[in-house]
Amino acid sequence: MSQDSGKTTLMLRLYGLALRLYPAAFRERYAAEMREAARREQAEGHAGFGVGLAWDTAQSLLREHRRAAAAGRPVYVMLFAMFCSVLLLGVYVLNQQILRRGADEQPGQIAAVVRAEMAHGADASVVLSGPKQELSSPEWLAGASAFGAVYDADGKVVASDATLWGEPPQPPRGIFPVIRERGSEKVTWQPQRGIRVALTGLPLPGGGYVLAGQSLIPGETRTARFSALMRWVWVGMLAGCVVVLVWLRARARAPLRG
Amino acid sequence: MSDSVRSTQDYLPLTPVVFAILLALADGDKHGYAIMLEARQHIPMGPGTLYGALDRMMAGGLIVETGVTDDERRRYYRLTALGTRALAAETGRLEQAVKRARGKGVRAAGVRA
Repeated sequence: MSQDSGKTTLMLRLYGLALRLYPAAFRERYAAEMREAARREQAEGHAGFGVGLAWDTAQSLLREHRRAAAAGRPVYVMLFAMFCSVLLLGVYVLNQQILRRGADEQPGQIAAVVRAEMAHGADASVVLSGPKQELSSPEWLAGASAFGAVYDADGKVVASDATLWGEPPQPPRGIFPVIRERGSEKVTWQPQRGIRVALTGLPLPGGGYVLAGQSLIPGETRTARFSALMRWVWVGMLAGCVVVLVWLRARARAPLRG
Repeated sequence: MSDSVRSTQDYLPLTPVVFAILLALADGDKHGYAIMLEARQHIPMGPGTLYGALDRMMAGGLIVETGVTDDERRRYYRLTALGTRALAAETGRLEQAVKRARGKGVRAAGVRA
C-alpha cells in the first residue's frame, strides 16, 4: 500500500467516525450516501479533498445539530404553556382556599370565646349582648364584622347579636347533629342569593350549640378580582407562546433563503 | 403545506447552495453525488453541506426524492413545481441584478463558472 492510499483510507475511516456525530435521524438517512460521495470524491482524486471534507464536515455538523435542537423548540414552547397553565391554576386554587379559610378565622374565635364563657356559667344573652347586626344589610355583607348566636339542643335560637330580615338567624337544623358528631363544623350558609356567610359551629357542654359567622362577599370579591388577573396573565402567556411558535415556523424556512 | 399554497416569495432570495442544487436538477433527476459535482461549478460544497441542504429543501417542498438504488447508497432527487418556480424567480432576480450591474459598467471577472 502506498503512503498516499494509506492516507486517504485513514481519511475515509475518520470520516466514517465523524458521520456518527450527526443527529441520529440525519445520520440514519444520509450517512451511507455521504460516505459513498466521499469515497468517490477521493477515488477521483479531487484536489484538496481531505481539508475540504474536514471543513465541510465541521460546518455541517454544527448546522445539523442546531437544526435538530430548533426542531424540538415548538414542543418546549407547548410544554412551557402547559406548565404555566397548571401553575396559574394552582395559584388560583391556593388563593381561593386562603381567602375562604381566612373567612373562618374570626367566627372560629368568637364561637370559642362564647363557648368558654358559657362553660364558666355566663348567660348566653349577656355574652351576646352587643348591638344587633342585620345580616342582609349591604354594610354587614360588605364588612368584616362577625356575629354569634346560641341555640338549644333542638336548634332553636336562644340568643344572638344579629338578625336576618329582622329575625334571629336560623340556619338549616341539619347542621347541628353534624356539629355534635364532629365536635365542630365549618360551612358556607346561603340563606338567599347575594347573602353568603362563613359559619363556624361548636357544641356547648349543656347540649346546645354556638354558631358564629362572617360575610363571604368581601373575600369572594377579592377572589373574583384575582381570577380576572389570572385570566389575563394566562391569555397573555398563551398569546406570547403563539407569537413564539409563529416566529419559529418562519425561522424554519430561513435556511433556504440567503 | 401544498405547493399551491406556498409562495416562491417565501424562499427568495435563495442561498447560493440552494440555487446551485436547484439549477443542477433543472435538467432532470440526479443522485446526490452528481448534484454535488455540478453544483461545485458555482460554489464549494462537500457531502455534509449537500445532504443538509437536500434535507431542508425536501422539508420546504422544493425537491422530492424519486428513488433509491438497491444498495441504498444513491437516492435520486427531482424538482417540484414549487422548486421550479423558485429557481425561475431567483434566476429572474439575479438577471435584474446583473442588468443593473452592467448598466453601471460592472463587468464579470474571476468567477468559477
